[in-house]
Amino acid sequence: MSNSKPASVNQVWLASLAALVVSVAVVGMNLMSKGHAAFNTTSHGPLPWGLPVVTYDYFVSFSIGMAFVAGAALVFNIEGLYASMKRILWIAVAALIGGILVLGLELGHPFRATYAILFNFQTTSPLFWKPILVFLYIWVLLASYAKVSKPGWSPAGMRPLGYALFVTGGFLAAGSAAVFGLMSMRPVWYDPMLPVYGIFESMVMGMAGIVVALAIGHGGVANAPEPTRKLLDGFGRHSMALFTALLLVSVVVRAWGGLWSNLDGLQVWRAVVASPVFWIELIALAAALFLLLQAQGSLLLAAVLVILATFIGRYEFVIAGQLVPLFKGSWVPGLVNYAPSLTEWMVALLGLALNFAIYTFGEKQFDLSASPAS
Amino acid sequence: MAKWGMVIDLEKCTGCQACSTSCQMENNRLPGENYQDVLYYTEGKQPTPTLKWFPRPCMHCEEPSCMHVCPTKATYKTEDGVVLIDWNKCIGCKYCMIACPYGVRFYTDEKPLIEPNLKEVFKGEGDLSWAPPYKGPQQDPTHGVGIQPPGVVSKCTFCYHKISKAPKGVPDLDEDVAELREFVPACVRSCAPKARYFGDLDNPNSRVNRLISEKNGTRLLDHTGNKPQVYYLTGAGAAGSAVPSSRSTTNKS
Ligand code: SF4
Ligand code: SF4
Repeated sequence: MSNSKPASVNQVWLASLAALVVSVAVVGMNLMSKGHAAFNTTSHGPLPWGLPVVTYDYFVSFSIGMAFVAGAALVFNIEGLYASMKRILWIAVAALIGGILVLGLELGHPFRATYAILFNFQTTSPLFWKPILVFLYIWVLLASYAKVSKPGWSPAGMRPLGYALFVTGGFLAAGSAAVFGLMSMRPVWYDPMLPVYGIFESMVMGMAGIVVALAIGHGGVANAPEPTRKLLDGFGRHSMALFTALLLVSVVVRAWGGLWSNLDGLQVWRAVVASPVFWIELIALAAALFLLLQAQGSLLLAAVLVILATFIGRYEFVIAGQLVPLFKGSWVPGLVNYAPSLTEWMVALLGLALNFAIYTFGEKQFDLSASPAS
Repeated sequence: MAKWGMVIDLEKCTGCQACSTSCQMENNRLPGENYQDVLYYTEGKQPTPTLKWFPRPCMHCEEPSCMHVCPTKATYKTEDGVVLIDWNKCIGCKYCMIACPYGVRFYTDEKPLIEPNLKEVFKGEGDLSWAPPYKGPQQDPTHGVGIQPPGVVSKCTFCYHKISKAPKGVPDLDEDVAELREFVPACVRSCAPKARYFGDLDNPNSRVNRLISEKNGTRLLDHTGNKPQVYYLTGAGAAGSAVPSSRSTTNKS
């Protein structure tokens, strides 16, 4: 174990271990004693997918975002990220593991899922394609990680894997969004362009994730290696600002369209906009944009704000799509009430803590700064 | 092969919920997880609000979105047009619940709607989520019939344990015909004003077909493309009077 790691690595490692212990204890106890009755999702509510699905979906998108940025760096020869390539890919692996664990806690029969999806070939289901894409993505991710782990790895030799990361990540991001976007019976979600939006949102998350990882890994963004810092201060900051601005516009426009429309189902937007959480999302994005546009604005704070806003956005999107009941139970004109239970929050925390624990374990055990031969 | 379907005459339905009650008994359902619900709602405001009701089983759609999204093919359609769930294949992902436009699917590992939780009082063993004091004789997990196991989704089966044993070629399953009575779905058999009819939609001589064509049978949310095999008779024949026409959320203007 290396002792030269910045204090931030140890601090995050210890915090994530503590969070893991607490969340595993609460989730384990509640799920073992009550099963999924410990969640606030209900058939008679009705709201089938709650916070665990949001969290799982977010982590998968986050992982894809990291892989995308890594792929882009390799394909377009963005040298400033080479020194961080191993770190970026390792975080993508960590986020994926966290996401899959959360999904396992949500499914009624997680072990059955490992073979039943693959062997039944329901090709019409987006949830048939998504696990297959995840499977491909894992292989490309692990192969890429293995290759950049070799001292003196060659960027030219990595380029084919860079393309593969780009393509599998792109299809997976689109496939994940299609799970929602193809549901014509749910007007908040239904949008054939949603897969494209999914790709773009993942990229913003990836950029923000890299900034946070560099801050933890080097004890501050300012301590990152010179080429990385240069990149972050110039092209990195500008492209993140551009994507954040586009994200902000799309959040506003989507809410605007929802408020304007008379389509049954979209009345949910009035409830979304009335919620303080929506305004926190907007303010976080606007503040992040403001910081990114200042030459001296804190990159780390901007990245944290983007991560917060995108998580809120994902929560809003997944939950709002289910708030108009579809002729369920004693059908009422109002909206469904849903707030995650303690167990659901702890499932989300468990996933997050696991991500950070795996990531900081990597920082402590492996040299995540392995650079290519110059 | 028959294509089973149902006709519900809204002019006759009194909202008595005999259908819901008999379905609960037949399929061992608890409050909050009724396969067959009568939905109550009001339309209009004071001083002229109207109380309305709308009986709503699974529509056993011709193009069931629940089946198309099910990643394990646990949800499938039989040759005789009934949409069923194979509980041995279901992984409890609940995607079908998301994709069903009619909200008729149930994942029952949840907080109970009323206390005490009868599943705790009558604890089940093995693959049974509970052991009710009265239970139908059938337990057929591959057709989603019987006591629901934990971790899976369930729905109305059109009483598949009954209709699948009906003599072949009959145009309708009518409770008034003594030799067919045992094969009639519980909700149809118990409907006191005889608002429900069950028969073969592919048989031009069936009563369900005649009713649909003579009384302008309409389908709920037809724009989704799911093509329900449950038709509603509305008297006036207008879809608006067949389905709840507004969610009466506050108007914008
Ligand atoms: S009503 Fe819903 S559950 Fe029934 S067949 Fe149609 S989509 Fe499937
Ligand atoms: S919950 Fe079961 S029946 Fe529904 S989509 Fe998932 S596997 Fe299919």
